[in-house]
Amino acid sequence: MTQRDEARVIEALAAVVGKEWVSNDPVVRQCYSRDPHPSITVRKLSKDRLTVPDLVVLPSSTEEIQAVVRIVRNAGYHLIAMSSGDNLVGVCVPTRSRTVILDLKRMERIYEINESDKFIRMQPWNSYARVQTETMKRGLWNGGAPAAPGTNCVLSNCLTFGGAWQTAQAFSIGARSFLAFTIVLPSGEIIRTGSHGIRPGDGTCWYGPGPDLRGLFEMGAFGSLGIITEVLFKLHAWPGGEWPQEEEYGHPPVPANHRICWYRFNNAEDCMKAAHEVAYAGIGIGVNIPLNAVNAMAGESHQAMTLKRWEEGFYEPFWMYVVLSGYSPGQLDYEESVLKEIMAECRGEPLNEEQRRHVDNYNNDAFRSGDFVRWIRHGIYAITYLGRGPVEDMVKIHELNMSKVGKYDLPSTNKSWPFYYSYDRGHYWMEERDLYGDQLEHAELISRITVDVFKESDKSPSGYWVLREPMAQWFGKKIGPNYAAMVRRIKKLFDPTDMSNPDRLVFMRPPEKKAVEEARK
Amino acid sequence: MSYDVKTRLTEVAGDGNVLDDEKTLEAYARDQSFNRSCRPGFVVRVDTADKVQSVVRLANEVGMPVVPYSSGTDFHGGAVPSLGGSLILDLSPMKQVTELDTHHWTVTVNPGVTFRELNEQLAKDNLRVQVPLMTPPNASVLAAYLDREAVPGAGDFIYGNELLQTFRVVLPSGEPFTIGNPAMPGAPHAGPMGPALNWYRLFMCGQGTMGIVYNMNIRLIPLPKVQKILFAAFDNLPDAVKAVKEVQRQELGYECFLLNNFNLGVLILKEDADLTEKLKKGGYIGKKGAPLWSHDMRHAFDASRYRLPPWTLVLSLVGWARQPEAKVAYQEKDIRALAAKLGFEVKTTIAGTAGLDRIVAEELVMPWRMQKKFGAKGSCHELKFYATGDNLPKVLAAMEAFCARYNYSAADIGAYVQPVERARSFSCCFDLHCFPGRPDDWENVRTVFVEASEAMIEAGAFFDRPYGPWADMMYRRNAGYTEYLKKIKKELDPNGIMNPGKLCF
Repeated sequence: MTQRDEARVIEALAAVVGKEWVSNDPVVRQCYSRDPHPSITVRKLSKDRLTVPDLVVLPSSTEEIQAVVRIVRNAGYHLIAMSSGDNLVGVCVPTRSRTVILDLKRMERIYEINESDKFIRMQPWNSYARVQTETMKRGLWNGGAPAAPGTNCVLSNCLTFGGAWQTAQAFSIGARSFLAFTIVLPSGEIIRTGSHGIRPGDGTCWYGPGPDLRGLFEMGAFGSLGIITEVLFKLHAWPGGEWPQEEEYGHPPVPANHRICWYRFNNAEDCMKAAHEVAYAGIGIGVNIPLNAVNAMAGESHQAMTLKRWEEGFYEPFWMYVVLSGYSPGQLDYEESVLKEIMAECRGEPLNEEQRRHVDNYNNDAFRSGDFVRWIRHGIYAITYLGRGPVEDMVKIHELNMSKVGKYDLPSTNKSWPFYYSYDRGHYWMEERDLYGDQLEHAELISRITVDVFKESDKSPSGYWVLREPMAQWFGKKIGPNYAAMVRRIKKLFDPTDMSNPDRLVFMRPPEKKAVEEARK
Repeated sequence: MSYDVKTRLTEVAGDGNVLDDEKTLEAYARDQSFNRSCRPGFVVRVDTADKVQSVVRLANEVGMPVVPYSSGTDFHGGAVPSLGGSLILDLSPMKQVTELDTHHWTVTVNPGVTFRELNEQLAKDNLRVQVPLMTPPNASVLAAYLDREAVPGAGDFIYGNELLQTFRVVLPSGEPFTIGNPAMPGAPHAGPMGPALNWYRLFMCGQGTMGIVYNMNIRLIPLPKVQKILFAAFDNLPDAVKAVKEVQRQELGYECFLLNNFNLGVLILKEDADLTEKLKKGGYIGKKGAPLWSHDMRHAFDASRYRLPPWTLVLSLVGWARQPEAKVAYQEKDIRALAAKLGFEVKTTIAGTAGLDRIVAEELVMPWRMQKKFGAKGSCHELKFYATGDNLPKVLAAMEAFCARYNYSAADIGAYVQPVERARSFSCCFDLHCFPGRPDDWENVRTVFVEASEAMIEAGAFFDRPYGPWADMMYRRNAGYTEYLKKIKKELDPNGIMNPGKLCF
């Protein structure tokens, strides 16, 4: 590509979005080449120039995105849509030359909060913090928060991870709350799903009509089949009233009509039994067993204290928190009574006062993301494993994972138990295993472990949200039957030139892979 | 060619499983819907996934349309061929029930398993499959769940929705494809998402046009340990909807729905003794409709329906394993407080009907009484759609306007209104009744059905399952979406053999 070609593209893009919203400034472009995921760190360390996009453009509307898509496609560029850019899995970092980053941060309008039918209609870039603030004022909320910063984009978090909320017990995976999309396809055409398709803005129905195309754009697509420019997202009643003030830093109160009950267990067997019983008792909106390493990070305000208390063993494994939510005192009392009954059967003990104070951050973060950003304080961070299945299976997976992790020289916080979240009242649990490093060479190690862990697990999940580098190439081949062929066919149908976020759907290996490899050299 | 095809089909399906006699073909040529009848060329009964694959491959080879058939109880023409000479792939012999997991409340079923069969089996383990209220006992569990039929517990975000977990499909090419975790060998069942994309939605509500689902893992719930059924009467739909929305907002009760007086009258109507078994087992509704009510039944229905309130809210309070009495007690206290606030009365029966709570409790586990509605005039035509609470009265008014225009009594509209996901929206079934033996009445009601549907869409109805005449109405309103549905269909089914003529294909 000549500089003249690029100048023409910039001119065309500027005519659409305004010249202040297009950039080829190297400093700006560098900012879009980073991600804490170790696979990206490894690429940066190896001076992979392909991580740096050629252009960055910030549109403000669906129509502008349509125009941008057409310009980019006609010029032979690739396009990667990104919102908050803190997905931590590297899916917005370019893999090819001639890549344009479509930064959606100007698309932050909330069109409507429909209090009667309980949904919000908004542009793609809206954070959990904003959505929760605006909806809670009206007695509604989105139903949960990931253990992540409040700046996380609701849409992309639910697209990338499915929305791993701490209240998935009652509100399911975040992606269940998608109601409808407006999507700009790689062709520049628009499709709308559900009842929004026949009456824009209508939230009557989240299906079809007939076979539903919306699922093709969720979860692991990472924008590779189209760019979502408007989302209708389900809301739920919020019984918590006005958000309480935090009088003492690190010790926010629990919102009204909610209780967070913490228990500890002496062994995995009791803990998992209690977890199953609580989830299937139909009580609570959240039933979770957090990583003890995360508790050490979230519970302490600085790293030295985290490591000290971790080494002391203050943060034991098998602490469970159950989030109770009630529309009446009768409901809360009933649920707490059932919870106590189960804990008595399963030898669960309430945390003592000191332990409880160290997890007070959850009083806020179980509902609204806040201090959980602390859990990437090691610097190198990777979500290594997201398993789905019965909680009883999770111990076996943990042991298998640890047999791999334990072989590598990493900080001792990696010897943690994973985070277990109950989904759909215990019908399945998600196991989240994270790995941490504080040296740059840990990035390469963690990338290798990630692949090893996946390869060795005979109870691997389908991993719907983890089809990304570096495990994706291996993982994709193992899924069957005909999975690879189906993905290829669908990708080719929507994006025949492989313009839109190439290489993210695992099987779409670069047609010019050789050329890319050479460029990397 | 026909002989060769039959021979080859017999090689696949086995002797006696390929039928082309007049009587059989005629039986599969119609259902009681307004859709025109169309005779298939063969009926092939299969009992394994391998046979499904082989038949589909052969159909591709010879270019023969394939229409999947499970129980034939959808009454909307989905399993009636649109093209003459089609092959009906009858999956009803696939009756395997496997992987019953009483610890995690799940089970895997094949298409031939009916609600009655499954619930009889599950009762031994104190579990049940949730049955859509208007569905006959002999309906296929797999087909109903694939068709997104709402269940009476659909108000509950988790327990009443997305009840299918994972499934396996034979693609139009004859190749297998797996939805959810089991796509990874050895992985346990979980939610239907993945791998990578949420494929499951593409195969739902497709009437076999995108592939044939032959195996599905679904979620169950326990039988109640303690249950209390409560009722509330309303003079009009807006008030009833308002009450439901508040009840759902406070997450009170489990099953919750509205019936109008026509349908509540059907529910409590005592049938003639000789009909009971047929209703309970299924088979009351035939290919040309149902037997007309006897004089006694008609008389009893007319005597009771006008005593009933225009709308009745039905709410089931349920306690399961843990402290069930305490749960039902706090919920009853809360619902009574809410009713006092909103100004409606909570009752234990309606219009003095003895045993109404028992009838409802039985129906929630295994509904059969609502099938009687088909005998009011011999044929019943369900308009199934979604509407928001605010739009629902407008949709009903639009329907009533067309009824008036064509001299169809609005009192003869049956209505069932099911809140979904805490009443974010409502899954509705409005019925029109007609006499199949009277061509004028048939044509008149068919006209109301079609013309009212258009007006209902304009008023806010959304026919998410766009069968029959609704297909054109829905798809022409969303051209971009429809174009891509067709492209995907073409990609997966280049020979166009999978149930052609349905939806937008």
